[in-house]
Amino acid sequence: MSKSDDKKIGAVLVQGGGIAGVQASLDLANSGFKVYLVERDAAIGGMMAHLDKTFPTGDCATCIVSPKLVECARNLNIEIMTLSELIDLEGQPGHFKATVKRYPRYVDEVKCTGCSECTQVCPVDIPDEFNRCLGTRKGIAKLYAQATPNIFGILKNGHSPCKLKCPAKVNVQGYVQLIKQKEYLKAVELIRQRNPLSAICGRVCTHPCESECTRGKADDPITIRLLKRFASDKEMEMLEAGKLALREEKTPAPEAQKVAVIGGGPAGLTAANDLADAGFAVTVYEAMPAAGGMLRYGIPEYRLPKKVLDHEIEIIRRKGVRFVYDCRISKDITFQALRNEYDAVFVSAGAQKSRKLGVNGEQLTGVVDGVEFLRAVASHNKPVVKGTVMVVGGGDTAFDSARTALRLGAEKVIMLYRRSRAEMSATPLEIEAAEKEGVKIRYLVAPLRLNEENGKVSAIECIQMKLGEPDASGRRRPVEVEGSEFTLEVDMVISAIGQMVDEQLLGHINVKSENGRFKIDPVTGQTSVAGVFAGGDNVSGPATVIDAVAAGKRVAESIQRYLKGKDLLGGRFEDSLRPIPPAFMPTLDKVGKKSRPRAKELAPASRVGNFDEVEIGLTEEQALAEAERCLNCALCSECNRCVETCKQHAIDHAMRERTVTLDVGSVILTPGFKEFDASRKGEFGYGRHANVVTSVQFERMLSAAGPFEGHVIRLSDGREAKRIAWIQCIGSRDSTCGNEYCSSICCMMATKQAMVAVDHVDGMDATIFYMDIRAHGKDFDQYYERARAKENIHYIKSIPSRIVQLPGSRDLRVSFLDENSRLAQKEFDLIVLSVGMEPPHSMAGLAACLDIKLNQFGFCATDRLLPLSTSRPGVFVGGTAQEPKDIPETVTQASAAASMAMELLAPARNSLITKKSYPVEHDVADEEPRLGVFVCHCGMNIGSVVDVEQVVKRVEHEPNVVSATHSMFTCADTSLSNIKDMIHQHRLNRIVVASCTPRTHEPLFRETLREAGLNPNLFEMANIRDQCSWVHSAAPESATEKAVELVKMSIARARTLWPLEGGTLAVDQSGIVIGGGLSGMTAALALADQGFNVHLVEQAGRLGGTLHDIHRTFEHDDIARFANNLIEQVQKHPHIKSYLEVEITGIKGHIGKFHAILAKGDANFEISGGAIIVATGGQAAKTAEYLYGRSDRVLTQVELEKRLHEKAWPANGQNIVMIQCVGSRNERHPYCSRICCSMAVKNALAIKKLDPDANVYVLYRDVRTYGFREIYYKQAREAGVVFIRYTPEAPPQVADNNGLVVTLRSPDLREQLAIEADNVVLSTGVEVDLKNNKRISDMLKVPLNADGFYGEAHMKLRPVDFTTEGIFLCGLAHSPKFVDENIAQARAAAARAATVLSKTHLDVSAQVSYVDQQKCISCMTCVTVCPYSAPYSNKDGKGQIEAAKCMGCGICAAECPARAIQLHHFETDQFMVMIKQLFAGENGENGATTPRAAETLMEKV
Amino acid sequence: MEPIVFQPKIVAFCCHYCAYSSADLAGSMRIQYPPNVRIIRTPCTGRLETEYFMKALENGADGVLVAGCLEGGCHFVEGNLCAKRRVNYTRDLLMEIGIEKDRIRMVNVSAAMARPLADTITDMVETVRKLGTNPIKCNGSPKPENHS
Repeated sequence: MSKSDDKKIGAVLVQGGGIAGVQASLDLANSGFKVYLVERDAAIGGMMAHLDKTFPTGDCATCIVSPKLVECARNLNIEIMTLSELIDLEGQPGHFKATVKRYPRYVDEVKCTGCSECTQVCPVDIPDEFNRCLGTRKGIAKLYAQATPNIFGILKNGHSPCKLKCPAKVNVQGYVQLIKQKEYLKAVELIRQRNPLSAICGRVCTHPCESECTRGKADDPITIRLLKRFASDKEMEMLEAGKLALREEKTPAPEAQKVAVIGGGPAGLTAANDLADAGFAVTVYEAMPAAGGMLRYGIPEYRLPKKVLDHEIEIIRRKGVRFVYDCRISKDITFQALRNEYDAVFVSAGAQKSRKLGVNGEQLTGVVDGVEFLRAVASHNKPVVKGTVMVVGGGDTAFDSARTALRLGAEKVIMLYRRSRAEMSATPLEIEAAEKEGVKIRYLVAPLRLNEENGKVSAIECIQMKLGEPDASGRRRPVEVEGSEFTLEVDMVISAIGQMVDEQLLGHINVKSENGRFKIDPVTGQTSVAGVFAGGDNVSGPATVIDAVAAGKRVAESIQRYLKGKDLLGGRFEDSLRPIPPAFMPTLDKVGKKSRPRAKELAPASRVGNFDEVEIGLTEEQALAEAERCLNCALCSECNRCVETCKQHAIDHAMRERTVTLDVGSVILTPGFKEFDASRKGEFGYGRHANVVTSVQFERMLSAAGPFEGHVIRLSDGREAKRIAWIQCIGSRDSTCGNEYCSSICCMMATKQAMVAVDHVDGMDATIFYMDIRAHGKDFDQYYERARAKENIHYIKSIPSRIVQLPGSRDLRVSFLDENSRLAQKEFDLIVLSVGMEPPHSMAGLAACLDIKLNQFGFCATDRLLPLSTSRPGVFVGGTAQEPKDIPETVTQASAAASMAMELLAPARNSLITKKSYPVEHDVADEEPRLGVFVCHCGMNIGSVVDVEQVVKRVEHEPNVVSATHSMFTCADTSLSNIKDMIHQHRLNRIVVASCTPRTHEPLFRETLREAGLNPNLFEMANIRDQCSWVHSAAPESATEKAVELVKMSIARARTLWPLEGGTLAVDQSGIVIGGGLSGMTAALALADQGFNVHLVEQAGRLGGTLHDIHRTFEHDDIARFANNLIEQVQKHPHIKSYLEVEITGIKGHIGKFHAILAKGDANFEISGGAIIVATGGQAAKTAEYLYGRSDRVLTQVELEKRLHEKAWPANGQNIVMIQCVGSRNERHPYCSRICCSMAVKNALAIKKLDPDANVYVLYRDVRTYGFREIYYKQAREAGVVFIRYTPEAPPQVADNNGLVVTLRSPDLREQLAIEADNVVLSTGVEVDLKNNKRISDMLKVPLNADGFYGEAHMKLRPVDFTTEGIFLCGLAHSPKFVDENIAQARAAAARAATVLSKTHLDVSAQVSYVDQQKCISCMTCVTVCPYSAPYSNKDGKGQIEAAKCMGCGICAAECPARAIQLHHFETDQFMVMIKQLFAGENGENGATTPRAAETLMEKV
Repeated sequence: MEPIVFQPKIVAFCCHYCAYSSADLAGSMRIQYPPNVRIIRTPCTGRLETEYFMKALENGADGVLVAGCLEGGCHFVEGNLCAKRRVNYTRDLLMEIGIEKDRIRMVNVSAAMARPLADTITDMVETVRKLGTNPIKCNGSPKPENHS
């Protein structure tokens, strides 16, 4: 391998954009790596974006996650790739080639401004997956309101069955949706894109689409044909009413290529239409005096009025199509002449000749063929009809002839059909209509001969038939019944048994034919001669109108390709169609039954003797209701409303999926989890009972931004739910569904949901059915106890056996075993199923393509001692894809995985990052303010409510305003360039943008200022959309008034802005780690492996801490070796300097530069570093309970483990009683120590393995073997370990009367229990060295919680940060946890520290507070109130603020009694000018307060 | 003639992280509320001084709304508690000088609580409408009973 090959790639791919992916990306990008954040969904945010509040702090999930998402989107070194997934990974750690599949969004991410106009016009309502189908969303939408990136996307599913079934592939769903929106003309336009004969097919189409309609499986299919007709009729009505004009007549360009179309039937008309649209010069040669073919001369007027036909032909003619009538090929013009004159020819002459009956007498007068009969009627050369008319045949022509004969005066019309009704090719509606009108149909009858009388037909001899075997057409062949002949008297016989192509034409046009029809390529429609195409009935034989249209479309596409010299075959329109995968079809179980409407018809009595149209069509009301029934199978209907609405032209329905290849050094997998499908546990009624929801649905219910805006309701009736039950462990701890593990979070989630719900709803009563309450996280148990103490939250230790929905009320009756093991029942309004976690859908595929191992449950397999490494080197994992876990552990693992990648890629740090350079800032210090004001329409979002032009007019003369303009989208690229131009042109030095919200757009505009050479702080925004036009759309005048005032306030403030410089701060790029236990050593190694020097400070005489107390885990039996390895690595590492037996006596400084004074014996020395990691650890809690210290047979779990490890445990069938929660969950230690249950299980299993005859009893309160540790709990029970529950009210008693006796009253047992124990083992939990922690927390000015553990900056999202920048924490000092969790947390702390240490200089925010030294009275209030320890007393005894520590909240400024402190960019004056401006009109134009106003308040005060 | 309804003008100070976000969300959700309120953004409600509230009233605001994060959920730990203290202090001050204390109010909302924020604004507008024009205004308009 060459040297350059060896160079590692400083980029990381993170798969999964939930909170884990976001955290890993931020840590990596902020420490010098390029990140590709690849997310399967349309926005990042993952599960956290779904949550309402978080436990145990009650923080709003959106509040805490949104800033992180926005930070991610703004980071120059994070490329967010939404709708994407990793599909292949080649190469080695340090240099991988990652292949990412990118699914289409159908919206250009660069062009989309997030204005939302598309979503407002989108007609499609589909179940909103984000809200777990509790509401609907539009086909084009953002994933959720605050989605990052803030752009829209379209959901497509393939193409609807209706469209696919349609021979012409008309976008049925699209036009049905447009009809729903009353956009009738647009609907017709959409139909005509695939079928120019919209009004015609609205009447005569055989609508194969309807038979495929998904709605038909629920109740009735949508009556698609009638909707098409309805929209088309609307168009004609508008034309007639003069509300609409046909488009101008076009003529083809003189140089246009020429196409001849033979035959002006539906196929010819369609092809002519498309080719004219494409700019060709088309001439249609028609044998008859008018165009339409069978439409005109075959279908009677009462079914298809000529007016309708003429209308649609006229539309086609106006496109520049020339018609030559009465021109028969071979007779009037030769085919060769056409070939010579035209560049291409389309033969669509139809099948005009009737088939003969083939019986004697066919030539008699009074015998006509159907085609001719109908043609004569249409040509106003009406035949005389009277007496009895016999029609032979069962197709459309037969029925049309029969019904026409009736109208022409026949007394009796009888149809003879040789098969049964089921085999008829006419539609049932047609048959019904004929029967209604009086036509008699005789089935299974065939004519034998026609008899003559007076030279004219007089009777027909027939024979009865029966059905035999199916023939080639699949229909059963009719067979004569011998001896069943009979005769009927007739006056006229119309034979309509089929049509064929004119043989003469076939002969004249010298292309290949087959079975009396032209032979073509089935895909292209080309005949055996290049440039000659054929389609319609002369290829297929008699077929439907829509088949002919489809043929015309196909040939039109081919002719265009042919004439442009393109391949005729590849990439044709049909190839772009794909069916919807069955799994994605709409579910029908929630579809309310509603039948289709029937069109009004002319009464049968008034049909005779005229040709008035029989079917009258739908009313508007019917049509709208019918369109509403469409299920939108394909999701997006491709109606193109969004396309025409989007002013940014950002929408592209033709986008296709693509793959990209990325060079990355490492991969981090954070794909998250999927919730268990509750319908798999049928007994709980999810999906069957309306008021059973999942915990995630309930979360959406609680969310103020959710589908019910935070109202807790019953889905059945919308009533507020007052009695709610939670059922735990749905899909967890359950071998029947294969999920034997515990999902870890559900107990707390249910507890939180109950807490929030009882707050939301007055008189709420919450019941939680549980197995064990697993509140093992930091401060969780205290939260659980608070919930338990509430009167209206009840915990019942039982999992219900079944749920019954009560008829009528839809209340739910739950049966369960109560505390006394008796069957009890309780009724509820709503039941929440606490669904567990499963591996994400993508996990198996991901594992296969990355070649990584999964565990037995499908989660990513890892080792407890290497918790972040997958089986493939260089690929790391974090979060719930590794094991179910809560947010803090997820975030911790994400940072830790980032650390793993950093360690691997350390040499490549900073090699691929982008740093933007800007022009030198223009000095504005001596200039008068020159303001540019830019007011945004945001398409219609602002413009349709606020009079934007008036706003501009009313602010343009404000003092200092040099220019005031408006634009459609101020944030569009061209507008931003315009702002830069204006800055230069008008020497603008303050910019005001009035548009949306600074939360999303301020960074963009500030960036524009920097690019134009202005300091970014010279910018101000007025929010006239989110906080004005959107919320006052009903009051446009007031909204305009408000907008004017808001802009004026911003102008006033902008005048007072001045440039701010943040400054930088040099970083001491070495780390200080306090504590040399497992966590401290791991953190030190993680930093040192990245190349940073580390000072590792340990007060004991050796490294290792409590790691020496651990001898084995469930999976590893030699922790000592692991510990020794670790210690050796630390000791040998060139970048680590360990200090043993030292005490820290003082810490000074701030992020980037800390100094610590160490004392060793009498000597003092100083170390320094840019970041500090606190890993001071914990210890096994001491106890004096249960005779501990008084009987040598009472020992702790740690002592037991040591004895077991040292093989100093007798295998003689002892009785051992373990007592849990000895040092935990009590008054002294109100927290849960998290590890003791698993430790007891581990040691109990070890005893049983050593001595199967031993009896082990574990006395517990809740068994908290969370995650995969649950498996060992199960193993222990299977091994015979006895678990007995106790309550804190009746704890076990241990007495020593010549032997230990443990007595206990368990709530699960009737009798009191007494166990003679050889040994009693106490699970004493974990505690901290309170004194030491107090000392260090005082020095670092970081908080401790009530239990003496350090308090992190934020429980959920900043689990290893302190509020003070540059200081991090990990390990037992944070809270009790296991080895793997400590390793992850230590690495997380290292990753966080690396975001500081990787930089030579840190940027210090410009928006910080500063002290006016003259005004300061040295009271040091600022020092007391600042949450970040930024203010300090300087050498003059005055307050001063360390900018590096200041977070810019301004609390000190507000608290300062001498008003000596100001916050840059939010100065008192800057607030005041806005207030004054707001009331300027009332207090004089200059905005100054009047003397009277000024005196009032202050005097009175 | 239609009776003229008194249109109070209310200044709302919203913290960037929660209240301002939820005001934006109200927009996304198209929740309608009366257009009588003008929002001024502040990094944290803890930045706001009593003087701002008093100046707003003195300049002619009929009401002042201070909207911060939920208690316990402040982005800057407990800036909203400082604000609460100052709002309460301002209410006492107003009482002392004979002005209705309900002209100023503090509300705590999360970034997702668009509806509660809009409801509070609506309620505040109604409350202040009932109280009538801010009596400090130099050209004080009459009390609402004269309007109806």
